[in-house]
Amino acid sequence: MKPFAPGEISPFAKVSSAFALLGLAKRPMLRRAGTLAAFAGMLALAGCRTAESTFNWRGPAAHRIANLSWDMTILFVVITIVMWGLFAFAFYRRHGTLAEHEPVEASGGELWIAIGGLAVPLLILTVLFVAGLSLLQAFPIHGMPNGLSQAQMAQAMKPEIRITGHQWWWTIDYLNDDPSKAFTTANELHLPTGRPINIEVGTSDVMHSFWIPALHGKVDLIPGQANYIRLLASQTGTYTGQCAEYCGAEHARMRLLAVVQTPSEYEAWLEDQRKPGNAPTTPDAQAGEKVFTTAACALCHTVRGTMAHGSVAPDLTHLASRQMLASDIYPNNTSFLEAWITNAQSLKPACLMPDLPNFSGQQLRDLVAYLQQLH
Amino acid sequence: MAETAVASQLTELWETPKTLCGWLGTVDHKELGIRYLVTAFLFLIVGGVESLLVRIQLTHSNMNFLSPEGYNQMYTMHGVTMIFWYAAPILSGFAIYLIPLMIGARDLAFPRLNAFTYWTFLFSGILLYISPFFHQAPHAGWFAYVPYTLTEYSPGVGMDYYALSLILLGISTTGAAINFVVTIFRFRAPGMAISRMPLFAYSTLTISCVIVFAMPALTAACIFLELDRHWGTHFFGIAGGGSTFLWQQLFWFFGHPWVYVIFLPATGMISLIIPAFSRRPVVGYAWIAISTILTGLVGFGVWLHHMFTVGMSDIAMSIFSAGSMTISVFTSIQVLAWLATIWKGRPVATTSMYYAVGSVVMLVIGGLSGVFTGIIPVDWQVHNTYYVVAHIHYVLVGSNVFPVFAGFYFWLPKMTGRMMSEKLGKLSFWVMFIGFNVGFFPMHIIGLMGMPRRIFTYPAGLGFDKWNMVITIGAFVLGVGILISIINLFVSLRSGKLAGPNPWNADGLEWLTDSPPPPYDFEHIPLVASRHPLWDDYDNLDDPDDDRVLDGGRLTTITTWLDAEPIGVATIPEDSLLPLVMSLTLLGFFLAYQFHALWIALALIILTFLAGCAWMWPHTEKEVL
Repeated sequence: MKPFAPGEISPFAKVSSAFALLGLAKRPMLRRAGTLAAFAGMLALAGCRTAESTFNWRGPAAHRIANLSWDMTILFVVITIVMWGLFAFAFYRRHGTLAEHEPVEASGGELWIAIGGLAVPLLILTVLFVAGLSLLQAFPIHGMPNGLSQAQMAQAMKPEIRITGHQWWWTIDYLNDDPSKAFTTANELHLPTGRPINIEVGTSDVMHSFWIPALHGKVDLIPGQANYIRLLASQTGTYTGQCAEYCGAEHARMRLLAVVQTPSEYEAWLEDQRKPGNAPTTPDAQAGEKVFTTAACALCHTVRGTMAHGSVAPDLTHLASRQMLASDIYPNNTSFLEAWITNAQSLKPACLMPDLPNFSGQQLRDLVAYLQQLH
Repeated sequence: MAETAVASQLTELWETPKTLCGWLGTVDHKELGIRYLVTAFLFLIVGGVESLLVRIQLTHSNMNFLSPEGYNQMYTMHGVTMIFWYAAPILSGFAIYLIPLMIGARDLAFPRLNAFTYWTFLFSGILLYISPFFHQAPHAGWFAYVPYTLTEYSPGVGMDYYALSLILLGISTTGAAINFVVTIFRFRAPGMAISRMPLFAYSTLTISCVIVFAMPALTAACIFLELDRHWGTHFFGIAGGGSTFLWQQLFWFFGHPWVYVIFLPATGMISLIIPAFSRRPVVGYAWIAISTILTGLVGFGVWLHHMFTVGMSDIAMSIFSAGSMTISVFTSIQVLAWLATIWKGRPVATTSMYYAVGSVVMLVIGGLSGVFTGIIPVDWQVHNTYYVVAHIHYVLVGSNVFPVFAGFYFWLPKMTGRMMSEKLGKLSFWVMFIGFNVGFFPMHIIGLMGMPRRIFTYPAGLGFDKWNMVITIGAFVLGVGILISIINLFVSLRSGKLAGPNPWNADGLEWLTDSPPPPYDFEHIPLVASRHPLWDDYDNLDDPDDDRVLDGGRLTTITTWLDAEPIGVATIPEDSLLPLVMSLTLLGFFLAYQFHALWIALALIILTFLAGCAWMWPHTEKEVL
């Protein structure tokens, strides 16, 4: 699959921008049409410049979908303008009075319906349907086809990554046939450029939906069923995503970060992540490790290489390497780490992380020192 | 019209006494229709206020106006209220009031059932609105996906009230649907062959059949949910071998046809209003009628398009995508028929016409954005974003709220006998039209920008802030527009110009009788000779020998279902308190169940049964000579 260069615009969009040039035309009617086209283009463009936009594609799937969306948007804006114009003109071109009416035998006008209501829509819809099907073929998302077991499906798809949704965060397992090379992280998905990666998605509780708009459409996380999506990123960068199926109180703050790296950076990152958590070297951090493993933390969290083997909360083995806290809500820095430990319930009400107000100031500083050296 | 001897005789037969018992026991379709309209409109206001609170919370990133849980309950109540307790009942209100008048009957086929369905609709709404008083309103969106709605994740009573009130509403809706089917097939005035029926009757007939087939899926789903929540069954919980998809399939098998239930009757109203004010017969009557029926049919073949992201086979998705494309053709046929009607007619710019045309042009946008979401890979991007929110609001406001306002401005003079102010009406239209488009068009944009629906807040810096501010302003402007029309209504009730029987010089049979109509609707059952009884040269009331007065009791004619040949006379039952009693005991049953008073619940369900027996008990009608 050939990655597309960002910024490439679909042919249809080019035609429409040519249309916008009509704005310079002399005839008022044409000029008005041109202005409208330009305005519509601006409206759509306004959607392009943000990190999470579906038009801000960074991979072929999102790119092709964005192109088709563009074409349809432009086509539909034109249809809307034509239809509104026709209704307005029909309404204003002549007037009657309540006193008179046409005879009940008045007929005619069926041709409008046959052509405008039936033939033209059928033609447009057929073209769009076929365009949709070809995209569906090129970039499918997979559920479980009939007659295949979960295991057979996993065999066929060979997922490299498994993402599991929870209320309201993500477990991300990097799978490997060699168990010593598999590891678990959370809330920050790393991908290499230039190589499609198969991802298996599932959930431990309610439905969620995995969605990185820059890379592909969304796929739901369904209890009891694995779904598969293939992501191919064409450009390095950090892209945000979001749970897209309502999943409870904090659904809005179940966000996700996708970090796309060059293949060599990605391999280096994998190497780093496979290592156990750094053994603390400074006295603060050593004290912090003791707090971590003896206090409640270890019941829920894991830091590989220590006594902490909890499995209901995000793996913290390389917490310090992650950019954000609490599934991409707060920056990963000292003050938010302290706040998160002591006041999680006000930062993300109803999440499973309890408020832990009973640490002394020193304990808290030690704990944060320990967490911050878990690169 | 001067009170004739015949008229006073009919009045005595049909009039409901102006006492409390009379008010509670009336079976008059006009009285009950108005109650439906008023109740549903109150739900519109409640749901509207909820939406404004939701909008305030979303004005800025990271607002703290509502708590996350409070927001989730609020948006859920907004959706549930609007879709179930406003959008369908308001159209039922129009149908209950207008269908007998439009087809020349004196009441619906089952007037007591009509009273029962009204009370049950009211009580189901009250049942739903008990839950907020426990601060545990439903909180899972209007489609309430499992497993989030099971007790493990939603331990509060909110989802129980959701399920129970929908079961109760389902009883009401099904009853009303059966009533419409029988009325429209059997009570049409002699001569009103099925090819002469008003298009509103076509759409009401279609959606009534749809309800009869679709509603059981929702009722079953809600019963299963309740059983799973409290009685240890495993329909939905995967731990016990249930399926997450079962709820989705059942819900959407009901849910998508339901979209047409709240859409088709409104298009039927437009198909009457646009020709009336274009001063000519509608273009493509048969096209519209057939499109309406096909929409109802194919509406059962599109529901999977709500589930394109759950992981299904390509072939299943493609079939349902094709179904969704097909159904939009039926809508475009109707839109072009309306356009051709205006084009070929001589339009009169009344408020009602403004609303009708306004609704159609917004429906164009809603229909096109629907095609957008029907393309599977594109849907993967826009599914569950604000694009979908924009789409449903363009469809539902475009093809339900605006047509309903068009209907109010058209038929309120018939119901109240007084005209509404055209000046205030047009002001209200423009404020609503601008407010709606300012409020909802940007939702397309933020949806494509990646803003998911059902989020109580969003981070700054994604570009959502300024658009959300615009949307909130638009929503409030829309609210002001609706308020102007409410003021207009009260002004009209106090001091509106008297309407007379046919203020618009329109073509339907409902304009043949007084405004407001007498209790017996028509002094003489009219005869019909064309699709436009009041525009043709035929005198519908010509009845020199008083053959069609039918004053030997509460009577109306029965005709054959296709050609409307008269074949008999139906007796309309008297007012009765039994429908109210039965509805009350049914409400009591659900309440007792919800409060775990199971013995009382058992007693109440037996009482409901007994009330039904008393209702059905054979008895002789009062003889009138």
